[in-house]
Amino acid sequence: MISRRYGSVIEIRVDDNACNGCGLCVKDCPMHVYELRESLSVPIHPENCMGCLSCHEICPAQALEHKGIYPSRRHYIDIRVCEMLNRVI
Amino acid sequence: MKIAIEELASCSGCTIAILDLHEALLDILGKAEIVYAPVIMDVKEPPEGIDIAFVTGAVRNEENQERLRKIRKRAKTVVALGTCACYGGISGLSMLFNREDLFNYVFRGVETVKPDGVIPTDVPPFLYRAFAVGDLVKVDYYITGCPPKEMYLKKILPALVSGEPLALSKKSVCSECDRIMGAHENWQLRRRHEGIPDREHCLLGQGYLCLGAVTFGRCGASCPHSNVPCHGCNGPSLDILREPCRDIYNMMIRRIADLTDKPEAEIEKGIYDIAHTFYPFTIGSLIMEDKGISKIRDLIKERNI
Repeated sequence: MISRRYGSVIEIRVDDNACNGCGLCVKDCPMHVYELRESLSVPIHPENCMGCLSCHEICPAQALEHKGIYPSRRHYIDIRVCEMLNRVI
Repeated sequence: MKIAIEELASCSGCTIAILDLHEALLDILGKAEIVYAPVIMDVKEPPEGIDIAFVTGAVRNEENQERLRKIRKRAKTVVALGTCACYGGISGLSMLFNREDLFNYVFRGVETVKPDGVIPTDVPPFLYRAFAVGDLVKVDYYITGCPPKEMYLKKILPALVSGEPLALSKKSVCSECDRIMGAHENWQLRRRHEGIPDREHCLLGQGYLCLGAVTFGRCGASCPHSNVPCHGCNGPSLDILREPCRDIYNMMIRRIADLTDKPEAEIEKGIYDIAHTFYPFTIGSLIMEDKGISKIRDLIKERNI
């Protein structure tokens, strides 16, 4: 079954305190969602976003957040890593 | 509530970081009592019935291992405090040498050695490798940092004592850095002693190996703020810890390649002393070593344990 989501726009948030204005997301995004304005990344075309989250991987400051979009589930992840991740405070 | 602070292979800096809370420590002591902390009080053994035990330092010798097991048995909650406890820290670098060399360097090659050369019999033997605390016993919470900065401990410790939930940023050092990052042409690797970095722009872009992008934050980017490239003392950022395909070394090379459009192989040619530049704080961690792409195993396999 193919679900279609015409008209729904993915909400992209940029933490402007964190963003360093490196422009890597602008360069990396296959759908040209971002533009650099005054040394800050701005998602000017969130409607184009296909939710690949490639920008999350490339952002050195972890400044990007896509509301409701999560990386696909992996079949294998180290249990020790999972436990440690949940316990870092 | 009873609090203990245990010291393993560490410099005691993490205990001093707790003392750095100054007056805020008094608020904590209103609700809890410190019953055991070798650096700041004279109690030889941890008592029974500890509520929260902070463990600082890595596990490098048999004494460390025994003390860790004892405190785990006697405490309800164990908190790994500082990067040594979380990821092995600086003590992990000792794995680049074999045990005999270490022993000779620490106990025989020093000015204070006795003229008769007799080694006391109660010197604890080294384990075959360094361990992070979480590699050997169950840890309930991890607080990274070398040492953890008091501005964050001021929020974390009262929350731990009162059991309240805590929401602090879990982003990388870059998110706290005020430098401007951008693409660079003619990028060339520079060692730390070469030139004086420009204060405005990203240190990585200027050629210095600044580990900010791959390092957990919570330090206010204090080193880049003082014109010093990040050494990675807070341990890996959580995305690197989480993803099996990401490691400090490969993500750094990727980041440089993204910024400079240079091929990764060409960047790797200029890299020097991987153990001390990329893994000085994480080389002792089994979790980081067990990543398929980690370089740690290659770095320590040569040694004759």
